[in-house]
Amino acid sequence: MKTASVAALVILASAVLAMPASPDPSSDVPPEFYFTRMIYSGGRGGFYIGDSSPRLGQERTCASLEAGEGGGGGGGSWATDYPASDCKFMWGVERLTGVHVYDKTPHSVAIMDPELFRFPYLYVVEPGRMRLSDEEVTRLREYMLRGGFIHFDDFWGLGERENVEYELQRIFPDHPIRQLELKEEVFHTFFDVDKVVQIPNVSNGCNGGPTWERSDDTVPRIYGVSDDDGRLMTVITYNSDLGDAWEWMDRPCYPEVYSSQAYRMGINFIIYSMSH
Amino acid sequence: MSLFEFFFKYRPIVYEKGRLTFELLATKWLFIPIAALAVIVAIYFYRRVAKEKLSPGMIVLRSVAFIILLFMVLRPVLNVSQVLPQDSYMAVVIDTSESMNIKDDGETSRSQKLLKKMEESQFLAELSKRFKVRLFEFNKEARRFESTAELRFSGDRTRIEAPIELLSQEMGTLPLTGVTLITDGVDNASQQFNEAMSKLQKRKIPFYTVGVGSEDITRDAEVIKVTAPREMLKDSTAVVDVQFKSSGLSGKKAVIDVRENGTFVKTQDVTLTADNQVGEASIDVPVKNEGNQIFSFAIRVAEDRIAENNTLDSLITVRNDHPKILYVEGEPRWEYKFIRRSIVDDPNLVVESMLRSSQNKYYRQGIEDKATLEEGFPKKKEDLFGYSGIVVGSIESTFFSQEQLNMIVEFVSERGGGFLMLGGRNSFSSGRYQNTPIADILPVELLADRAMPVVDQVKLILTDRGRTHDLMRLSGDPATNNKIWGELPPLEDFNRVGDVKPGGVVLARGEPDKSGGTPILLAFQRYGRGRTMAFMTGSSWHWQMEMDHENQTHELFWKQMLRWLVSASPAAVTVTTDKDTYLPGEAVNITGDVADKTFKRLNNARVTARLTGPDGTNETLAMDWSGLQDGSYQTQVNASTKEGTYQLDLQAVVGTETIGSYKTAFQVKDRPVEFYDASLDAGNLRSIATQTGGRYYPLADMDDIPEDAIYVDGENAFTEQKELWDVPILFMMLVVLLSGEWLWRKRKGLA
Repeated sequence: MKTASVAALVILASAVLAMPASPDPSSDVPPEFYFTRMIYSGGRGGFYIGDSSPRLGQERTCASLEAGEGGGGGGGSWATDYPASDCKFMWGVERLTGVHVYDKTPHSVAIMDPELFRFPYLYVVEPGRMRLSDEEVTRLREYMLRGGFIHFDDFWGLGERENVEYELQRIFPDHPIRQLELKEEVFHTFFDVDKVVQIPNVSNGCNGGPTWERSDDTVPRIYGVSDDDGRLMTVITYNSDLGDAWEWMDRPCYPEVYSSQAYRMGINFIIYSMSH
Repeated sequence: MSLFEFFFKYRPIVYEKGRLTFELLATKWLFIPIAALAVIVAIYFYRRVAKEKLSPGMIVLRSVAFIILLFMVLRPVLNVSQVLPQDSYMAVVIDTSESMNIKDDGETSRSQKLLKKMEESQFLAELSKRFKVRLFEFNKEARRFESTAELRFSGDRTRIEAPIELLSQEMGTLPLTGVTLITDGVDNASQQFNEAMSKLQKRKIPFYTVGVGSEDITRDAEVIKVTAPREMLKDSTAVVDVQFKSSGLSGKKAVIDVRENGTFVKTQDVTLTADNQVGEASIDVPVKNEGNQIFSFAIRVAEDRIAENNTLDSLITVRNDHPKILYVEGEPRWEYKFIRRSIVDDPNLVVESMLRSSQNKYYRQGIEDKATLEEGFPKKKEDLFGYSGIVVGSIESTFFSQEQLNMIVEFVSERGGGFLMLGGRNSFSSGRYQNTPIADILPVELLADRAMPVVDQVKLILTDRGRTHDLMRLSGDPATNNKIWGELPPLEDFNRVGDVKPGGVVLARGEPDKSGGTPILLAFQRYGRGRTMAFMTGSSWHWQMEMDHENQTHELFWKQMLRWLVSASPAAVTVTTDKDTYLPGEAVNITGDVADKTFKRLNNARVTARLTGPDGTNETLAMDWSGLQDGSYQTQVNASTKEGTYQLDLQAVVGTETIGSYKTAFQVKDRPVEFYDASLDAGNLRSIATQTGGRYYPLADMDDIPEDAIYVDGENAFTEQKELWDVPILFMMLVVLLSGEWLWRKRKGLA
């Protein structure tokens, strides 16, 4: 069993980390998809980066990451798992799908950045600590109503959940947050996901203990908010940490089952956002 | 006595009809050499006297005077034929159609003016002194009448050939000297006028035509033509062209009211053009209600004197069809998402898409049946031809087999489908389509080399053609439309292509780049029975993400693009009529097109059309293969006299199998043609008069006819000689010439 898991991990890592076999002439064309990390205020030691502040990630390139490397992004809750998570996930998307991704450096944008609307997909990590200004609330509502898509990930327990619900209800008082059913299209756009697996952080994953972080609510659930046409504008992975799974997918102790599931879910969300 | 008679002694018609001779000359042509000789002699003797003081002017004066004198001495006469009083007949034919009720001056109708003139001039009495008068009235048909009190002026057509036919019948053997035809000249119903006229022309019967009415009706605006699509998809916008003209109202503001089955829809302001120049308004008409809808277009302006010509109808069949579009995309990209998103609430369009999400992995959307597109892009004609349109995104040409590429070409040329290629890194030349059959059907030339898309911001600019084309109409108001297009964010990439092909139309270009070039961004062309489009960018999604979510420009643009793509795609079995509106009794030409599922046209089908009238009565018409075109069946029926909407249901059967069916409709409606182009057509009346050896008279001069009409050739005529030597003008000219010449000589010291 362990041998099989290691073998699967090696294969997955190879798929993700191997460079393309031959150069593609069309690679001169800018990429279509940017995995864009949304910068927000709030969180542990976090700071708000306004329009004039440089974005993080411009100092690191994905190619400079070492095997098994993770963490080190700093900058606040929004930067959790940055940049390894972003880079490794994008490598996987590039290898496994036909999405033409940007994988040179991590990419982030602040809510009030004028460039926000040029990136119709956003990733928000640790939204349990997120604090939105009124201006940001209006902005995000506009973003999603225009067709933008946001994946909220990595928040645990009732306290953080309450914060996420509060912020989302400020954005969409007229659209309820609902739990998604596995028969819904978002779980079948690329892979068929037939169960909700709790994706633990790297510590819990490697130590083999409980996969949850907060004892007051340990069950993983996936929520969403749909627009008037039934299109999901946001997917919320509660009590799971997909970001850690992408970040540590090449750490031997981190179980492949979680990494695989995280890639499957993440890719499904991307394909969904690019087709709905 | 008129001024002409005062100077010339006789009426103009005497000079027109008379033949000049000289009683002292064997032939009138001798006058010329005699006059020339006399002039030479006179000049000779003149010169002997005047010598160096002689001037050419003096010579001319004396010569002309000499000629006149010679003319008078030689006893000139006009030999003119005229009839004996009461020895022949004169037919008086009066137009009693509705147009005679028009009040050209806004106060008195044409018929009133006519009757008043006839009474004041005692026209019929004066005619009766010279002729045996027969009275006829006509509009659509002609009949005799006895008294003007019987006349009603209510005919809905004017057929000038009608009285001519009647005259040929009733007066064929009588000595008919002439015909006085009193009308406003507008003939809207004759079909064999020339044939009818030739019978009377052989008898050399002159027509004295009297024009009633004004050649320029003041203060009238009329709708003269409405051009609308015959069929529309529900919840579309029909672009209807309304042509109008006016007289006496140039530059004034008017409105065109649009009604649907009598219910007000909208109004549009127009400015009336110069007199009798055709103006045109292009009106966006929303079509929301399924079925056969009558749209009426009425022009309204203050001071308009004739209301009967203000409205024209058009029948549009609004279908609640669901044309299917197949969209093939080679990679997940934002353009794909936002195109699908833009038409999600379109109740009619069905977009079945296959997105290549990975090598050999496809994500299908918009399908109802799980088996649809399971095998990938259709390999059989009947599968592909079930679509009305194909959209190809960023996918390389090698994705398709050669058979599939050929099938796509046939889809457009034979099936009549629509084809659209979008820009992208695997589109056009960068997708290596340049040496494939697809290159032939695109409206633009492809570059020979594989050219990657240009990645740069480019603003889309409408061409002149684009500014007026339905497809690019995001607002019914041209100024607003231009503003909307101008405010769109720039695109981010485009594929370079070559020139537009002959027959292709460029609707949009990029604003000039650094080298001054304006790349083509959107073009289309007709190809075979279908149409093809090329939209050279994959970044129109920025028009959605970078504009307020309530702005519907992006959605509207794509709905229009895709609806237009399929709007002309026919069904396998269709039926049409040559017009949407017919006059009662007019011939209705019905054409059916029959093909099977692969759009192979069939000549062996049994085709019938059931015609159902507004009262529910119906008849079944058999349609025969036309013999001229594969799959084309025809028949003809005369429109009923009953006005209303008529439905045609066509069915095509081969053996026991029903191939298909289709419905269409037309309306029968009488049109008050008397009030269209209702100005006096004096030209037509002059032509009739000239052809027959008669004369044209304005109404005011009508009383000259009794005197003029006696001068005719013919069996019952005699020749009268009218002397000309004592014509007053000759004496006057002599006095003037001789006086003038004497004064000149006196000045020169010769007198």
